[in-house]
Amino acid sequence: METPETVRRDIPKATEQAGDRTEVREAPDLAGRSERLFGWILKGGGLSILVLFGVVILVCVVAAWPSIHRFGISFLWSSAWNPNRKLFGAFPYIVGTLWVTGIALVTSIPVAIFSALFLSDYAPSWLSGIVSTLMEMLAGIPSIVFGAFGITFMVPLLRDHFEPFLANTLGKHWDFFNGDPLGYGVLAAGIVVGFMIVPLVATVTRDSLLMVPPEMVEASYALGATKAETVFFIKLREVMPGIVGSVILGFGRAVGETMAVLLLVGNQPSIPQTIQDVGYTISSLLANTFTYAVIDPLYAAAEVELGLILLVITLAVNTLGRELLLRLMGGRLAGSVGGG
Amino acid sequence: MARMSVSGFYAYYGDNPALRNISLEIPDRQVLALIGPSGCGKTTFLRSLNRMNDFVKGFSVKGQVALDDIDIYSSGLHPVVLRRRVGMVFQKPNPFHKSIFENVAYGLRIQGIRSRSILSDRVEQSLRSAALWEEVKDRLNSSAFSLSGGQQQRLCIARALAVEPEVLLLDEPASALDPISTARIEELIQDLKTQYAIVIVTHNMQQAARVSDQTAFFLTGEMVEIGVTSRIFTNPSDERTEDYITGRFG
Ligand SMILES: Nc1ncnc2c1ncn2[C@@H]1O[C@H](COP(=O)(O)OP(=O)(O)OP(=O)(O)O)[C@@H](O)[C@H]1O
Ligand SMILES: [Mg+2]
Repeated sequence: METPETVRRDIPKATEQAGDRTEVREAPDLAGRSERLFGWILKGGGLSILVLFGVVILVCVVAAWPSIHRFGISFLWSSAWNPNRKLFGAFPYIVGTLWVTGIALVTSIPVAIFSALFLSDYAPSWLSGIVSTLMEMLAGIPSIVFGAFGITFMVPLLRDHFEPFLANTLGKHWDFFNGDPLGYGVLAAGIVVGFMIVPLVATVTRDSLLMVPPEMVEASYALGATKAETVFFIKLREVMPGIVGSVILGFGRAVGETMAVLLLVGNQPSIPQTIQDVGYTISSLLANTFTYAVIDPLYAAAEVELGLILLVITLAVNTLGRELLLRLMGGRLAGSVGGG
Repeated sequence: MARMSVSGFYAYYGDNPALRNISLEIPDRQVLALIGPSGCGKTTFLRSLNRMNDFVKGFSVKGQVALDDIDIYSSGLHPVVLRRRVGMVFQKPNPFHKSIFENVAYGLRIQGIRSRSILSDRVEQSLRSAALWEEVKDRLNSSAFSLSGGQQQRLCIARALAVEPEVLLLDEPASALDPISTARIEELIQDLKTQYAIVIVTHNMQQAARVSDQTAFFLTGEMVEIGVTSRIFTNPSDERTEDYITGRFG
């Protein structure tokens, strides 16, 4: 015996699906000119992105060619950087970029996730509204302002308090934390870039948390879970794809961040050994020196090649992130196909 | 012996009474069926028995609901503890985005059970009780969403059984299922009632007649009558009950 409800639920679903399938094939016939025109506009839009991407890569490779040709693959691990003697190597900048990005992500992701949880599940709605608005404003602050904030506030704080503290505690056991407290360096740059990523990750995470299906949350409570258990084991798991996606965006932002880093990282092409050390990132190097570099084709080529490396890093992380996303969403996709 | 007893119970969404003056007993090791037209308050009643309505803004209650003579609303019995003892399966299957195994193990894990062997024993036992084991034993690690709707519903039943509740609330557990899965679930209910007190909401009169020992008929927030199922279906004392079960309305 079918209940009226089953009938109501199942029949429209079946016709909807059939409708979807035929629509794909018959759309041009049924919809006529305007639909076809719209289709072409969309195709044109998609194509132009492809073309733009291709052109950018091509131009960069051509501009970087003298350097690629001259140094080959060893450009990646060479630390030489002497424009007068025409020696260029990317290693310190790659490492500096990874340091700053790593610190930015490690410091910002937990803060972002906890503030998102607070906003979606714990804060009263009036407070959540205020904090959310502030957070969105934070995302709009120009990076130069973050840089200035870093110089006037973070650098002294790190130099006089936090970095000596790290050196005296963790530094006793791990050399990694036992550097000279300079204030400027990868830690200052990383933390400030972290501030810039927090709103991004937190906003996406909060929005996904608010969209978790209430039935799933109820299922957890009905098994005798507490609120904290439900939030951490069910809701957080549920929004993982959103978090991963926003972290990838955050990574892109951190890797490419220029102004704030340039003001804070110290701009020394040395390889940071401790978290307190100064360094140099690819984007801050380019911003600082590209205007001088253009007078010498090889110098310019080396800098463009650094830009290409930045692009490759971003693409690689995007691809990895996409894999991870697919894996996380695997069940979800299967669910939308096989669900009853 | 009554496992739960409800007396003079009222439930309100804001100012609207969804349940009025309900009094009934939920006997141990028996199946109580709740029948009645859509919107009469069956789900509201079921969810009042394990305080799932606490999450609904503006919901309030009056009267008593007791589990083993302890009032669940006023005794200080924590809802988390209550819900471990009064389990629930929802109208629509709602598995977690976890593997089949982890869906069933979740309720145990949050009780602090870590031992892999205890977990897998209890998971297997629950899946067997829910008549799902044979279908999933080779793919316990695949996502719960790779199951069909009927399998998902049995998974939700297994998940509720794993925490070994004393009372099991089933809200139209078979409404989205094909006749074979429905028959399976009905058999399962017969097995389960040897251990649990079961309350089942159903729109299917035959199902109510087949699986339940007692039947209560609800209408617009009131309980019209309750009694032994065979009597309710053959010789109801209220005309409205008769109209409903013979299909004259609702
Ligand atoms: N969250 C809610 N907020 C406000 N009113 C609600 C809510 N849930 C249910 N109601 C109302 O309470 C009444 C009883 O609803 P309930 O879901 O308990 O009915 P039901 O008997 O389970 O119906 P069905 O057979 O369709 O599942 C209905 O009038 C409904 O509109
Ligand atoms: Mg209902």
